[in-house]
Amino acid sequence: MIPAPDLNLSVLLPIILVAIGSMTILMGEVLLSRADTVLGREVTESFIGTVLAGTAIFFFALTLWASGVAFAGGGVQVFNPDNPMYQLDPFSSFVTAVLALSALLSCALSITYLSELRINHGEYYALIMLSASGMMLMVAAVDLIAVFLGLELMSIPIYVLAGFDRRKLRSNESALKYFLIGSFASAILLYGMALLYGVSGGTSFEALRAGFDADNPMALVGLGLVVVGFAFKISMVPFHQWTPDVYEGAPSAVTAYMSVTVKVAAFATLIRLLAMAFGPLEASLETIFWVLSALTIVVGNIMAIIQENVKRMLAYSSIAHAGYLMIGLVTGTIEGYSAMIFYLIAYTFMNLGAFGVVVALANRGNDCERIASFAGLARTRPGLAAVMALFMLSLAGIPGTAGFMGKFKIFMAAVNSGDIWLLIIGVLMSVVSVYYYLRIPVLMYMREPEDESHRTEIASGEGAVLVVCALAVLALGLFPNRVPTLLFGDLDVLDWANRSVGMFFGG
Amino acid sequence: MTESLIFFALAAFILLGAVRVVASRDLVHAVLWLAVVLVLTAVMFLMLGAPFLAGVQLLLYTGGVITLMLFGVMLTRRHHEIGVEVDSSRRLPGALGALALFGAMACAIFRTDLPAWPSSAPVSALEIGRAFLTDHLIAFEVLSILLLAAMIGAIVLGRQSDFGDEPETVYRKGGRP
Amino acid sequence: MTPLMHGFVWGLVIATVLVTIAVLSIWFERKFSARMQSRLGPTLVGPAGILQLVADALKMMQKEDLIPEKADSILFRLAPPFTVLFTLSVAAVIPFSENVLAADLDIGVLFMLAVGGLVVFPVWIAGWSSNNKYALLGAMRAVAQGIAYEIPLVLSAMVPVVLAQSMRFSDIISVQAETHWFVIWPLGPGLIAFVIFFICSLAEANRIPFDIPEAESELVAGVTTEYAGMRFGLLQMAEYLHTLIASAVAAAIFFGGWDGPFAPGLHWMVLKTLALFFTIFWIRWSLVRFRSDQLMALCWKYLLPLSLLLVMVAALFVHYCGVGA
Repeated sequence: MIPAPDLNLSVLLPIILVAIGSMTILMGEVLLSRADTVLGREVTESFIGTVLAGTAIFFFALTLWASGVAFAGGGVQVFNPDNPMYQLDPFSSFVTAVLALSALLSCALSITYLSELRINHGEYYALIMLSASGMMLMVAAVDLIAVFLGLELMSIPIYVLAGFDRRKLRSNESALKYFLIGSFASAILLYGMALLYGVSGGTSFEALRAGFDADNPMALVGLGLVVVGFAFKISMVPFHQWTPDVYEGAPSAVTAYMSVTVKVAAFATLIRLLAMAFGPLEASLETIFWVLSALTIVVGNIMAIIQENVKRMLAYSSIAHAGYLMIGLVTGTIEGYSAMIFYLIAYTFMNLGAFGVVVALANRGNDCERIASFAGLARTRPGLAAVMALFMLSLAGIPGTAGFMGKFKIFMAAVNSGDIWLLIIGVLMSVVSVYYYLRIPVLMYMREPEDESHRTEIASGEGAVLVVCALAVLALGLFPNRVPTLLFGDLDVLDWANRSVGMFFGG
Repeated sequence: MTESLIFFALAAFILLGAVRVVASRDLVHAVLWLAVVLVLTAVMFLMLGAPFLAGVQLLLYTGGVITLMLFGVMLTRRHHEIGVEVDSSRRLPGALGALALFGAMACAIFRTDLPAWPSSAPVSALEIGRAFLTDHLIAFEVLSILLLAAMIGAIVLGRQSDFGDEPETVYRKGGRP
Repeated sequence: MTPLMHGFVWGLVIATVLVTIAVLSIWFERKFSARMQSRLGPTLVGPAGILQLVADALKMMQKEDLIPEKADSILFRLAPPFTVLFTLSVAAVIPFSENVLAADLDIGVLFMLAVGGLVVFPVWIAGWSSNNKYALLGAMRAVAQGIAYEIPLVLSAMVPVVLAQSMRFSDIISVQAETHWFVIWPLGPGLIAFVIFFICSLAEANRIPFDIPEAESELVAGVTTEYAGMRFGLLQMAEYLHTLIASAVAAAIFFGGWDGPFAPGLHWMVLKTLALFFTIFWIRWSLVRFRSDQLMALCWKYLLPLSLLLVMVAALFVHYCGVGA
């Protein structure tokens, strides 16, 4: 008889909630589509879609609450003491909360967009939830096997989501490209993990830490391959080529979701991996990170200038932001890591908001992706134009917005750890980025409208998401250490970010 | 001595097969070469004292995955006479890159004193099963969720009918129209 | 004698005997089917027509070795020998008595299933490389059938494994020898698992009523359409071998293998194997062919859930009653 292992299921509560949610949605769609009326309402496609999206939002809200409670409680719990594959700690619960929040917002953003495209199927929300559960598993993982499983569970639904609009060739292309590159990256990652296992004789972060020897060439190659595997996911130059095509081809709502959450999850996992398994970075690796970070910032920003398509422009901008975020990895200090976490939150809101505007403008079959089509938007859709301008300013890092505060924290960390050149590159390229980000506000406010094909009214879900994002961008930019909320009092997001990464430094 | 001889022979054949997989012009040949590679890998597992893994490799990869691939080939266009274009204008850079990577890997592996892990005894199926239900229980469960996700994905992408451009219809009993 | 040599010698002996039985069974089947249809069968060559086999073999060898011009000639040549090879490899792990066995692997049942599952490849290759639409249709059906029936086959073979708590054939047999044959006890799951295993083996071997890949009335001769001479002979022989070996496996894991009173173990095992083999002929000449969709429905809708259930029942049985209760 096999003795039952001593499992601590509460560690996985947030993830279990999400997984249950996805299955509820799958079953719910089957049951709903067999009914003619529910509670006196005629069962139509959009009714089912709205109900299922509501279910997804409900479960994400539960997850947000559960991980928030866990974060407030603090402390470290492992899932299985015999083989601690997953760990509930301030870091994982905080990142899980961020992921749940951005997934929730993405679901709210998707309802009308998908209905317009007539692809508002329940599987969409189920896949979003499954990929979110993968991300949450990944950030809670303290074992290479668990990291890999989480990564795959995150990626596979997103490959499908990218091709969710099956009738559109671009969407298919996007899915195929992402899938091929993604599986290539997974293979590289797995190879690196195999080498690390061979060197240290274990897959847990603890074993890696004990067995990792920076003078050992195979260990270094293994670590390098693992980093490359993640580099594909966070679109670090030179592993970024897929990003614009995939972001452009995927349905805008999917792009909004994946551009934000994948980055948060992958960066968080990298932080944990480097902090827990490899200790302070080896000097040579730090140099490599330094070079890659500088390259990513430069290439992302320069390429973004020449784009004529909003989604492509935002794709290159997301590459650039990955570069800024990597500065935090280069520093390897608690300050750098907590700045990264704060930056990721800021990025979540501003990027989700920017894509949210693209989604809200999309008019059935016409995605309004050309930058030129934003001309004169201030006259036709003043509200949307205002929030779009805000998000653009924030992405550019203009003071008073979340983007500025994030960049400021990251650059401060770089200064304090002595990376002056990286700081200079970052600041210079931020100036360059102002050019392409401000093109859109300029077009919106100073040109006559020429493209009349936008959607003319905004759906309540989209409106709510945009308002939340805009308020968050302003609040995080103006008073990050006391974000005022009506319900929960003032929130100290900076302190949270510090507390979440503090555990890696014995805090 | 014999063992290392067998190993190098096997490795050579696996490499040959792997090269043929990417270099075959005929899609079916590529799939069959892949089958050869997978079978020989199973033999490799056997040599490493993992008979259960070898059996599973044969059963799942060769018996399952390759069969599915053949299905895929059959369900798409027939490439028997056409042949797939495998030439690329970037042959030289590709080869150089591959060589450089190979050099780096080989260098790293040869310059490392690999610790000898004490695990020469064959791992029995019983131990693997026990590990699945105790230490690796959660990985096992996550894997099933992963497979569920892949299955839903395949169904979503392979579904015959979509809502299309018709005006919104009311659901009929028994599922989608 | 080293274990390796021991295994090698016994492997050769077992393979030779099996091939001989398979060849003889062709004559037997002709006589048997003739009886069932009130005919006489072969009578002219030798006593009771037994030398008809030799005549047939000579005829096949003399035939022109035809390879269609548009065929993929290498694969076309490779397919028949590999069909026989994979089929015969399964026999390596089957113990015919305590001593008569080639390799008593720790993962015997798994090996049997894994290598047995490979047979679908050469069959598919045979059909595909012929470059003939009937052969290709046959090959496609073979793959569809093979992959579908592989799953209930594996699951039903897991029932004795769970009951005996081992994948080694000799362990499974000794547990049965100490207690009951699994086909008898535990009443129900053992018998049903055997029936499923038997059905799936027939399907894997493409025997009637599952000979859809050949279906001579619709597909000329299915995968074997373009084959002539000895290559055709090999493909045919592989089919007979497959059924024979499947019978031996079923005899070992469900009918107690060499266990039996009075006579030596080998006799019992051979007797059980031949009895099951005979049953297959019986089925073949009594039933008609399924349609492809009926075949798939049978597998996915009935056999698969049922065999899953059986594995669970077997596990519960072991949990509550202990091994070999």
